[in-house]
Amino acid sequence: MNFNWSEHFSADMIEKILRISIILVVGLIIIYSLAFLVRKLLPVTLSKQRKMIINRFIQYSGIIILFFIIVSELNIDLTAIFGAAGIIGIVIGVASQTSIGNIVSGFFLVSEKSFELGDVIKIGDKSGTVYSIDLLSIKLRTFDNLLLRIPNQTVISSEVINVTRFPIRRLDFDLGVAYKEDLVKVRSIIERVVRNNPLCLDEPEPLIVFKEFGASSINIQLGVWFEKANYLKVKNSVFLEIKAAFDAEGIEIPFPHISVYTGEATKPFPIAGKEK
Amino acid sequence: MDLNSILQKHQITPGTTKSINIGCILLSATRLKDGWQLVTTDNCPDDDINLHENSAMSDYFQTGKSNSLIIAPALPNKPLVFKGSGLNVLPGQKITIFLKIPLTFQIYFSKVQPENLLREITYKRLSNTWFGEPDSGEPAFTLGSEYFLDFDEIKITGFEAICPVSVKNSDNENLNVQRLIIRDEHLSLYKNENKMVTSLVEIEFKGKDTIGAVDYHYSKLYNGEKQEILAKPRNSSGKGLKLNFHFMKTIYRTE
Repeated sequence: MNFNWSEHFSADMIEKILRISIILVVGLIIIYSLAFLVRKLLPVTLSKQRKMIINRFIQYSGIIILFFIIVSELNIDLTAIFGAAGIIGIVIGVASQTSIGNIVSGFFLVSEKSFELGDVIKIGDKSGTVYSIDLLSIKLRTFDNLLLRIPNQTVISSEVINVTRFPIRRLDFDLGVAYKEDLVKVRSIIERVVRNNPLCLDEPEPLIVFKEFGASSINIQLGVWFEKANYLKVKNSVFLEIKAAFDAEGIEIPFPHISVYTGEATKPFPIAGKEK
Repeated sequence: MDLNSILQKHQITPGTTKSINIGCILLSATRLKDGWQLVTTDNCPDDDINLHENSAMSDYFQTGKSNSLIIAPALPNKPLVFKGSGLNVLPGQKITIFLKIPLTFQIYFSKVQPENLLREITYKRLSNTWFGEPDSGEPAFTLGSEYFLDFDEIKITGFEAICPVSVKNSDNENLNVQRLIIRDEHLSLYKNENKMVTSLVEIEFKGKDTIGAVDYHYSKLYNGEKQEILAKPRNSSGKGLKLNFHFMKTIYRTE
């Protein structure tokens, strides 16, 4: 079967397609070049977030303008489109409720400034570095280097913790020591460990709270302040140093014990020793 | 090792190593064909279990042909926080106190210029602290609470400098100095006879949470008749409008 091109494509139509293609390509080049140029000209002091918003504004406005230029080039009657806009609006509104919700949520997110690009945030049980804030969603780079997309609507309706907003943080350790230990000595060991750790800040002062008489230990909360960039180093070094200091000073860190009985509950399980 | 033998131009020929003790830090500098291998070992006493395995830091620097290594004194690269304990300045009064500042040593090759800086060494481990509120503020080293009222009374080691600080209370209330920040990046270091003395810090206190006036300048009285500069300020521009005093607030609820 032979397809007759001339029946479907007249010279006028080909010219129109060519013209629109050129407008589209040139228009897109202009929009992206302009966005690139503005990005380069923006002051260095401006946050990444603001730069991204300005950039997106230029791109989206450019694309809308380009759309109208192409529509007028196609000689489509815009009044008819606008006339139908009410009905189309309802149809689109119903069909894209979620998307519109996400877009609106996106505006609130940006204006609220709970987080910015590069911040480490926690949303529910997910956490990562804010990679991009887009029209419909935010994208996080998780710590195991995965890209996580969270719809804006989910973000706005969830509890968001910005981990890196403030320059310093407190890290809490839950410690347990045996009931027989001298708590004054325990406290002085903990204080010494924190004081000698170069990454722990002198001020705000470390928090040492004797929390409770637990089931098998006296529980102590230790909170150390540090500069946010040192999180892992502080966590590991304080952990190791406390264990080493407790071991060196003979402080027992108890752990749950299970007594195994056989037969009568009062008689212990018989253990036979091996004679050498 | 005395200070004069540290603060000099060390000539080290290719293939040889020179060890220099700077306080409790040992610097081993090996001159290689076109560069330097610098190893610093932290021998600072630690009264706790020392788990810092990376106490030795080794770096190679490609520098070219020069065989000379210069060690120059400098002030620490972070602001310093003085913890006042029981120091009060009544309204309208002015006081000059003197603080001991631990020195930092900068290692340059060939000559002392910023692009020739290889490494900075602090002669002892300094404690990190935070000046200001946890949601703002700035990182700093702590200076402790020791201060002197008489310039000639201070006994300093060769690794310390004297910092004269003049505080004028222009507020209507008593100034109980709790935390005072010394932004040493604006200070010069001078040699006055056998002592190293920084520029004079002049602060005018205008009230809590009000930014006071601060000035850092040469003083003939403390820095000597002739200006013998050992180190220029790290930042000579923009002294900025920042708070100089911080007053403690309890950040933990007492429930």
